[in-house]
Amino acid sequence: MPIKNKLYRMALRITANPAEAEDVVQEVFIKVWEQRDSMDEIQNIEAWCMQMTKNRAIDKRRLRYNQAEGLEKAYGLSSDNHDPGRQAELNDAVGQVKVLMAELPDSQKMAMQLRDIEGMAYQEICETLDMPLNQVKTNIFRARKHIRSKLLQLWTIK
Amino acid sequence: MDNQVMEQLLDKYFEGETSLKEEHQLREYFQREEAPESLQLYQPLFRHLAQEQKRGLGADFDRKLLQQLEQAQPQARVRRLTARSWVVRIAAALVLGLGLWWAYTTQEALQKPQQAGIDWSKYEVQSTEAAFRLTSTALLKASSELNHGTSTAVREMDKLKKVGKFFK
Repeated sequence: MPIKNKLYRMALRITANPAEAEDVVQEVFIKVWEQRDSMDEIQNIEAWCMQMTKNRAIDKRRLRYNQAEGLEKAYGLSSDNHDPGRQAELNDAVGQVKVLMAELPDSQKMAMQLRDIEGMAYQEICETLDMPLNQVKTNIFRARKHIRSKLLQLWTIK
Repeated sequence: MDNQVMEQLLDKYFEGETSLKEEHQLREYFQREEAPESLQLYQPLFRHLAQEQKRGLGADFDRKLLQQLEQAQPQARVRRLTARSWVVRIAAALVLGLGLWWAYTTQEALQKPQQAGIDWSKYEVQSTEAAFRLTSTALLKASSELNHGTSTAVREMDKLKKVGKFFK
């Protein structure tokens, strides 16, 4: 599986915006190209790219939130307006899981993404997220536990 | 797969104790089959994970990236010359011309009568052995320079290969 898609999924998990995620991957690839002469000094290029993707995606999302917050204040928009796309997702079971995952804290969201979607070993996740092993395992455990309890709630409501 | 085995595997998964292989089994199971009622609530989770694994960039990503890389190449700087810089250049050329003229006239005045030319014939190779020795030394020198060039090229190729796999 080409690394570009792996980086894209990671960026998309954080930004939740396909266009922004694509921009992030493009920026990362340009950076790799610019630094091709010093690639020998980087031990794990894939982990390095993933870290860069994570940081840039977080920056992009932060920038968007700040701009949106500014607009809301300027025009008196309320933030509790329901997004119709999100409402549609909530109506379908797989969409509900997508929303549940999106609502997780970043550290849990990223750890679960790398384990359950990218199929990475715990040690690789530690390197990518720059996080100790026990913290990675705790994050994955909490993320799955949260989703399980939410699924149970939704199931009993039905 | 047996329901009980699946339930145990699910518990293990939510405890964070499954291996990558077992997690793969779970995704495959919920993707393939309609789960029994007791397990149905987990189906959307594993279907979502399997769907996300297939998600990727659009077909035109590579083309857009190449465009960006071309744009990112440093452009040659175009500099316009001002009137002042023209004056400075002309003045520098004049100073240089005057200096050369002065050096030429001084040299002519000081020049002594011509000395006899160098007798190159004594440096000429006289025997076949000497000619062979000289030629081998020259070839050795040339080949060592060529080897240096090859190793540099191999090193650069290695670097490009390393970077190249990310652009596939």
